[in-house]
Amino acid sequence: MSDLSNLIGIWVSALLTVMVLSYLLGDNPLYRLAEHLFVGTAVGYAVLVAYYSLLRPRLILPLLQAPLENWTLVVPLLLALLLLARLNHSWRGAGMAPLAFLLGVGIALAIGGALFGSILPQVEGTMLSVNPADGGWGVAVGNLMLVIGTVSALAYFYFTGQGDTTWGRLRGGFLKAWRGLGKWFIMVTFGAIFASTVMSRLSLLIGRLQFLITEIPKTLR
Amino acid sequence: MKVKFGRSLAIAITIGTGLLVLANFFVRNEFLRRVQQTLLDWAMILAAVALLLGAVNVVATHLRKIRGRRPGWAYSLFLLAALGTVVLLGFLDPRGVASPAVSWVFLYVHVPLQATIFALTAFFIASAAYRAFRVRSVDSFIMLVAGIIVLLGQVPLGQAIWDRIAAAKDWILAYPSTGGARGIILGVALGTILTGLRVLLGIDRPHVK
Repeated sequence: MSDLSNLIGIWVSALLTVMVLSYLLGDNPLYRLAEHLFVGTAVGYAVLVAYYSLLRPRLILPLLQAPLENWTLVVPLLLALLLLARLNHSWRGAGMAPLAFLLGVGIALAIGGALFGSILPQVEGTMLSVNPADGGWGVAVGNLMLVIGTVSALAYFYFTGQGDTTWGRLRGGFLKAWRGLGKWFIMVTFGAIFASTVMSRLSLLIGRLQFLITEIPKTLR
Repeated sequence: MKVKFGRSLAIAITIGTGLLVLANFFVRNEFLRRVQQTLLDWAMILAAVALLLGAVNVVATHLRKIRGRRPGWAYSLFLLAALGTVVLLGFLDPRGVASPAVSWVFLYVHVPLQATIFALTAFFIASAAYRAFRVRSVDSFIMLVAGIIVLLGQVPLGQAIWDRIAAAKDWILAYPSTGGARGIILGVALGTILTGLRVLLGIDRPHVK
């Protein structure tokens, strides 16, 4: 990019940054304008990514260049047309088939991902040694805490009620105690997540202010 | 009758495609792998078309707002102008998203807007922290202590107050916080499997009304 386009770009960025920061003084037209520009560019960019990264290389070009070899692509083409038919109210029902297809594939991926991407690795990662001989007392206590935290936090999501029998009441009381402990571990997690979020947002704010303070004077030299 | 057939067909498509894709996670078979890959390719194409449909919906909504001169219609003009400009710049150049004009818009318009909007939340998070961290119970006290240690453990001020605060922060993040997060992740994963199975078995039908 040329120096002039960089120069204009820096000033446009600075103007937009100030427009967004003006929200600190209250809701105002400048902020709203910036907000709408943000949505406009985001949607426009998403359209381009969808076309150039997926539709063009995976559907349009294969069908135009070698239609006989890629005849199976007629199926997603038809489903895509049925999906677009949802734009017309009288054809809305036709869009049910592509949505059903997307839901089926999405759910299967979610189940597979949850099982093989979350549950198994997390369970494997929780199988830790609590023997001080393996890594010292600090690590052993930490690992024990991690295991107790994982099990008790999971128990917090166990909503089944207790029975009327003695065993049921005993079981219910035990689960209640575990749930209480799990809630404390979840609170520690929330506190840590909150603190990390605050730090990341502050870093962004410092970055934007630094941009205004350092880049704009450079363009004026 | 026609509507009923359409619904049954939609449920059959969901169950059929879902089970075929899911089977590949459990069975090592070349045919099943190819079927899953084909279905995933089709799903990606459909997801892109659904995204375009969303964009068309955004345009239609804002056009209606402009036509009806509803409050804030002038902002919609700018939104459509920004959207149209980015799309036009991308389609005028065969390089598309990688074209210099689109890159310029991304670098000098989109990135600063996104970064500043997120940076703005720092102020609102600070006021939310005041409300969330008020000590009213043991739970909020635990959250307050964990939050303060993790926060101060990342800045020089924290080091000045207590030289072991960075180690305390690392310990919290490595053990109790990870334990709690793991419990949440496992709970969410179990919930996802349960909800997914209910749809795949035809018990829940969220897409058929």
